[in-house]
Amino acid sequence: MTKAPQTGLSHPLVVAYLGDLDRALASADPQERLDTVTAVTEHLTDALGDEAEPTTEQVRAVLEELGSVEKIADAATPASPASPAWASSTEEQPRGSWVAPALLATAIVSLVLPLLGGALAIGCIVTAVVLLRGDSPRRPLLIATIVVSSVTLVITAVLVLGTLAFTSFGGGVVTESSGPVVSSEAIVVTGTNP
Amino acid sequence: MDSPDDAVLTQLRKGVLEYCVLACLRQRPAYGLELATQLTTARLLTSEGTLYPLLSRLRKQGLVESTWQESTSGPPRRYYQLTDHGTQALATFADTWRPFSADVTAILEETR
Repeated sequence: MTKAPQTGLSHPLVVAYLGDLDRALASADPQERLDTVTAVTEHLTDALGDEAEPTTEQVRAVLEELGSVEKIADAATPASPASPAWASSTEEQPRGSWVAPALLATAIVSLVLPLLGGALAIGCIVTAVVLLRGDSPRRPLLIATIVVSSVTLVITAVLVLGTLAFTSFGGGVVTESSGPVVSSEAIVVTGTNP
Repeated sequence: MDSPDDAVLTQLRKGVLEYCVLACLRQRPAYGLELATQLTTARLLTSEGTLYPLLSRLRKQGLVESTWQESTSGPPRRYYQLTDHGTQALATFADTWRPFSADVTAILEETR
């Protein structure tokens, strides 16, 4: 069990700090907000991770080094495209944030499509895995996409196997019974004609 | 309230901090806490947390990229490293900074 890092991060002061930081960054560029909260969480994991149970003094010291959440928020780019210096980077932001929700929506749609859903689900899983490996900021959405798509694949597999079992069971009876009937009639017909 | 000295330093740091981050990554990749400690020790960063919005922007600008690497003492760490574009930007800054800082020093000495 790797409890040590969790213990540090679950300290009430850390939880409160991360919540305050997220709120302080509310008016920042959304991508920068997400990156910053994630990176500060990683920083805290590293700074407190070695301590099985960090004392309140230790936590306070680490948070003091990080600085006030207001200072961090002041260093972030505002959400509005007011600053021309970051204009090009804000253009990229909607594309990155759009893909993961769209992927999850596709995965949900694939649930209600009987067979096409399976193909869609495979596509969704592959794309989500690629995005996850590429350090995507929307990890929870991508993981949800993989879960939903996996459910679709299971449903599709059950449908396909069920259909195959039904077809082979019913088809076998017809094939085996029709053969001899036809051939016996042929013998009868052949026998009566001359 | 910042003193006049602090205000000057704050402005100067704002102008050069991103290149100092790139310089810290010139020799090898580094993780967040490592970078923050290095910059704080060099007195270029007063609040470690302010490094992270900057790293996010550097990544968006394509000057820095990040990868996850296993750690011997805990969960995997995100390591930041220079891209080719970042290396080029740092070289351009260094070429500009040397004569610029020499000019500033010269004018300050001449007008004493």
